[in-house]
Amino acid sequence: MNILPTRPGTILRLTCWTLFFQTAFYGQQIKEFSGERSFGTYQGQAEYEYRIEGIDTILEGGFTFQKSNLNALLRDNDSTFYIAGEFKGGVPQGNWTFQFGEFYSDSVAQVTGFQYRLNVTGISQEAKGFLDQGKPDGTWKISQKKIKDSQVLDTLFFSEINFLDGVPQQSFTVGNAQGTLVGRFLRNGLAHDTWSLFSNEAYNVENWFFTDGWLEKIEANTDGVPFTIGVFNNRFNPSKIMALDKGYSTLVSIYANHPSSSAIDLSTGINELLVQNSSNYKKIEEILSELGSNEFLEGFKVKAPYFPLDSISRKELNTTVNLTARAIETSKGFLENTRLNLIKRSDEEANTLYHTIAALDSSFLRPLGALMELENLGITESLSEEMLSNYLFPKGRPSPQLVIVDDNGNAKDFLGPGGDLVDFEAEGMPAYLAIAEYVSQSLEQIKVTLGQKLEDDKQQQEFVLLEEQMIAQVNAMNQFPDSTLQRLSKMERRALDNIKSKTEALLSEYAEMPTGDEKLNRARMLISCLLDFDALSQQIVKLPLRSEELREKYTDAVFNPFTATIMDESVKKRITSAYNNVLVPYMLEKVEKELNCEDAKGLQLLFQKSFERMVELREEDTSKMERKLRKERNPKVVLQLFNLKALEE
Amino acid sequence: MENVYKNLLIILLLLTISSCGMLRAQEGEVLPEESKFKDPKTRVWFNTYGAIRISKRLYWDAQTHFRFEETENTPFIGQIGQVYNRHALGYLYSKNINFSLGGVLRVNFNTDESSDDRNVVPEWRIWHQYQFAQPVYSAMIYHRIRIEHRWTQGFEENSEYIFRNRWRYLFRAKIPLNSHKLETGTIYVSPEAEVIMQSGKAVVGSVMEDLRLTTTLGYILTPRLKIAAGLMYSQGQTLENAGNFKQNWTMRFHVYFSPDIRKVKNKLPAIHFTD
Repeated sequence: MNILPTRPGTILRLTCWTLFFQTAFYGQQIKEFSGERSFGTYQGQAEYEYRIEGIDTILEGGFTFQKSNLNALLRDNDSTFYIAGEFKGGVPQGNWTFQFGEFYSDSVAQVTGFQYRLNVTGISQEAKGFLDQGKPDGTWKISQKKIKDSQVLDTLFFSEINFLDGVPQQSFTVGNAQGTLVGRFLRNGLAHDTWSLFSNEAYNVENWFFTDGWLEKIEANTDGVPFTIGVFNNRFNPSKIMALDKGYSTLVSIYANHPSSSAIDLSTGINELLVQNSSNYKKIEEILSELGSNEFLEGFKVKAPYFPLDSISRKELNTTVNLTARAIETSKGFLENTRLNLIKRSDEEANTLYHTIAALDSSFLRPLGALMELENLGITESLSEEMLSNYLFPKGRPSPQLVIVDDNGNAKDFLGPGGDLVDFEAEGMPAYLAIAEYVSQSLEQIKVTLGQKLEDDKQQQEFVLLEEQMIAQVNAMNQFPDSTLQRLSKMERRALDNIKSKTEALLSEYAEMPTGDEKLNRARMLISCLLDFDALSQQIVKLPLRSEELREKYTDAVFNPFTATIMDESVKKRITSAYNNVLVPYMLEKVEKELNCEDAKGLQLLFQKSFERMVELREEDTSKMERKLRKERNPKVVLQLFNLKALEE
Repeated sequence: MENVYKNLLIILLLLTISSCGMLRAQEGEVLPEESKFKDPKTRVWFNTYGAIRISKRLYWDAQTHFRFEETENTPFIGQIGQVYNRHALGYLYSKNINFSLGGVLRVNFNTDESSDDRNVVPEWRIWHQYQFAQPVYSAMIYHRIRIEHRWTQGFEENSEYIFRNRWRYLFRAKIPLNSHKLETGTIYVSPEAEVIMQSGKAVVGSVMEDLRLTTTLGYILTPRLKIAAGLMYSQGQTLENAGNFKQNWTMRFHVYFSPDIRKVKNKLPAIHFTD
């Protein structure tokens, strides 16, 4: 019987392995989280299982995340959500449910059994389906319902799509209160055959005819008048496969609206339903991507023309888009500048410049902005050079020379820097780049002139603000009620008067200064100085009250057995006398005779601190100090004895 | 305590002896048909009153009075008549009520220039007093009941002590003149009336020892020091004959002082007796 290894080395090795596996096992151990969490913009109560791998948290197993707030529901309305599903190795795997609600309640509760029941009214949204490796698989149903008193009143939207490994299959249905869209796909997810929108009145209102991903024509009717328009009549080669998204919708409307056909409105009908469906998928995709998976797409695919740009044109396009973005920002900044809007009323040059910017904006920046939009939607390369030019400049290319008409009806010509050399008529990207550069340079030039005007105005504005503040301060400073002023002693009143006259002197000195940076600095300085003066005035006005307060504080109640009455007895008379007869007169004299902006703050503080010190001294053992204070008339010595010397200096 | 008992025993002993003597002294006195009023004498009193606070409720009542009376040679201020040493332990029951109990050693000087008897004799008293104060508008009024047990002797050699009880009631007001209450710097006027009754075996008929009517003007220097001066008219039956009344006009000068010898921390709060 020798089952166990006996050699010491073997035992050691075995122990190490056991420990290693144990550690590895613990490392793999599933933990549970339960509590408040937020994923993206959603915040609520989460419960999920996870394990730690290195520094990563890997979701593993069940997951629920929800929020509902009864208080919010009863008070106003409540935004609720409930998300439940499963993870495997950090990737969504299994049945998932997403529910969103916007509810309010009439607050009428019923007690059924031992439960309170409350009816809610609002909108409920639900998405349900299976996710395989984060991709939709099988049937996904999304619906949006109108709820009234906890009953379904109406279906606002629904969508049912079959997926196989993230690719939509066979047919789908998307509908809303007006109608239902039915369509088919090829196995690879490309749109195929007729996509038909049936109105709820059960007749066909719009058909999109696809062949192998190409949208060939659209049959629809406007105000009951049927029409057919071709979209991609030719099989473009090369072509590219793209998602049926907003970009594609734009592309369709550009192609469908080519000059030969009448204008049609694609914002309703099939297009609207597709956009609605797309946004619902997007909503779920946003949540799932917060949870670490971004493969949830409706995956409708179509074919579109492709006119690839060479690397030079691509570069030019990128530069154009960048310049345009900056130019739009600059122009918008000026056109929406409230100060410029004011200045242009009184300044003719500013007026002209303002209208120049407006003209640059409408003539050049709007088309370039449209180009930027196409690029952002990723469809620039689906338009031929000619189509692009016609789309951007339906009335032809603009001239660099603009006629500017200002508010007064005066017309002026504008030609930006290098305007006589630019060629806006060239083909393709170089022309757009030239326009973008021309606008940018023109705007830069205007910016210099206008910037100076705005800067001057800014300084002017600052003066106005500072002076307003100053005047407000001065007005507030001299506002003490008569009753307060009447209590002041002559010395106090003289000090207060000096603050006033000093203020006036400073203001008139300021008023005589020439406008400029120095004056601006002076204004800022004065404001802080006036604040100090004001604080100083407040201190002086407080003196009678404080003296009364101190008198009370420094009074003891003494029982006299001969009269059987309680009499007030002043205590620590040397301290009160030093404060009242030496310190306060000294400070008041300083205010009266030596007041200036630099010392005002310190003086103000000295008033405050000396009073606070007096309050403290009442409670302290001051016998030694009182001895030293005997007959002391020198304020500096008193300050030293009061421990206020540092403040004074 | 032992001493007190001893003293009490002595007092009781003296009491019995003296009462016999007093009877004898009054024998043969006959009441006149109508009361006789002697000519008023003038006197000057210098009184100091101390009330020294020793604890929250107790104070030491220390009074020293110097009483002068006219003589034929010095008509007005006269010569020293009595020196009072009045001491007691006072108890502040409340702001308005206090009691005290103590003793008096009065030194009587013989003012009779023709007398060959002793010049100085002591007089002993035990006294207790009950004072009730009451504010009336801005003034204060006081009722003072003072009971004294006194042992006196004449100036004659070997004269014996006689024992009497004195029953005193004083009514006094202190009315501030320049202020709305009695406080530092206040001048006040103080009218007072006191009747002093006496009883004892030696007292036959002369129950009203003294009736004192005084008006004083005082000034409060600080809550702990005040001074006062006043004029008193008094009359009372003589012990020898109840039909004879003596009269006095007395000028009184007072100093009142009330120091507090407690430590600062014990002084606070100074006024709340009922805490």
